[in-house]
Amino acid sequence: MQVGAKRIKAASSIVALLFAGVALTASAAVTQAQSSNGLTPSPPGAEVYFINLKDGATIPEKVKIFFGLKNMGVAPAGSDLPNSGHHHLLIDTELPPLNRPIPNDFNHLHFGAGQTETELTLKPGPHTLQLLMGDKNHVPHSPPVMSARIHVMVVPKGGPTPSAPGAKVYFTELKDGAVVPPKFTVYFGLKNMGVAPAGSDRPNSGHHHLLIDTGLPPLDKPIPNDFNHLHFGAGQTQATITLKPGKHTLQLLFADKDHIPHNPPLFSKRITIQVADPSLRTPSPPGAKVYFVGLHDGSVVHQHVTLHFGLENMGVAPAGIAKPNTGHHHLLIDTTLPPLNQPIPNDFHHLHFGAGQTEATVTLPLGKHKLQLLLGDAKHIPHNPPVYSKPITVTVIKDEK
Amino acid sequence: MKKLVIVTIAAASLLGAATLPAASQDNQSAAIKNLNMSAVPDLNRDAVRKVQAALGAKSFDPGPIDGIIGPRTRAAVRKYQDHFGIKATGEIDNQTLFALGTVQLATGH
Repeated sequence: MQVGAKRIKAASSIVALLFAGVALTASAAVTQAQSSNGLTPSPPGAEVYFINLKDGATIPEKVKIFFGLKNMGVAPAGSDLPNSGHHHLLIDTELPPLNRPIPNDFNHLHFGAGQTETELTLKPGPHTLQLLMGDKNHVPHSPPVMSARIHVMVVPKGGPTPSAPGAKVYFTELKDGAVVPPKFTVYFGLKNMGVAPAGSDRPNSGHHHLLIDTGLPPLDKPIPNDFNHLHFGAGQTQATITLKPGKHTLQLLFADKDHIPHNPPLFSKRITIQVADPSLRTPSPPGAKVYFVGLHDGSVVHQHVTLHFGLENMGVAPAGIAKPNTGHHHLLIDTTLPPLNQPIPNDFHHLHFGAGQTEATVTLPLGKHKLQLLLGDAKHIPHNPPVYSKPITVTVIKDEK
Repeated sequence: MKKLVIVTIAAASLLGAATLPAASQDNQSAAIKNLNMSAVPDLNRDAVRKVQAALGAKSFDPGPIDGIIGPRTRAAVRKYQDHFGIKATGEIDNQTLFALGTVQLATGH
């Protein structure tokens, strides 16, 4: 009888072990089911987003970024709670492979302590930012919980005076790569703000500065005043400067009454120009001037119009004739000055009058057009110094019947 | 004695059965980890329909859900990829399938 009892005890303890085993594997099966292919499932409707940043935003170098999370909870790395994860901030990089732990470097910032905000310092210029949740092992969920990749422009902070939204400062004529003579005129463009002399305290205004062969100065202090930083405190919108032959950089920077840049700062692209060696071209006499007779900036003309070319202190000669102090006319329509050390192009925007004409009847399309005169030597190359008129904008209206 | 043996055998087989799925899931995780994310798997019409539906659900309109990768589907894929920082090739690669939540199409299950 005792042997039978022992057997029953043994059998029942085995059964107990059995149940324990099944229970263990059953619970293991439950957590395994949560990671149905090795990836942690994310709850439906989970969304991660930037609370205070939009695609295309302009931000300062030091910025606080807040991480939003909907329908999901934040938990520190390593914690194995369902429907949770921790933040990662991707900077200037594509989405990392979604089947592996997110890399840990300067482009992939981990917030494994469960942080929901951070202060970031970025270099000036364009950057991309994206939020991506990771599970306890820093592996993205399935489906991944990620924000859109947004583009931001980091602009260094300026001084105390605000600039108007949409304001721009730019070179109206000069383009990157332009070839110019040693003495040339730079025209300053300004959008959505006004020019006022230094010292004048009007809102939405400032005055121009031209930076030559130097980068941007500190944008929260007065701009230095030297040969590399030309101030136009009288409110000028153009300047004639003389530079040595060779490569130079130019940049426009707008500033307030105290010569401190605005916030956000207003500066043009930094362009590189080539100053051509003057000794290689036909000299023009001092005081030579070319201009439109009877036409000025803002004139209204008919579609069929006769333009008269005026020339002071020089004579007209047909192309091919190399008499000193002469040249022939070129009419530039809706274009900027061509490279001034090469023959002027010959196309619909650059009309040649190589037969020595001093007037032309042209048909212009309706609307506003830019006209400019440029003299060329016997070989159609601009003189040294070049002889050109200030560009004018005319409005072309229908012919009277 | 016989009863004991039967019970033990039954227990062992139960335990064994319970642990089998765990082993195959480890193989699945390894397969996922070793996937080439820029590979473009062959998708049948039904799979493409699933991808098109996923794109449409996220407001990247692929045109009709017809299971054919035409220009409208490709354009939607490209827009989706660019929006989320995936190389915008217009090809439905594994990275894109993972992003859309259609992992099963990447692993071929």
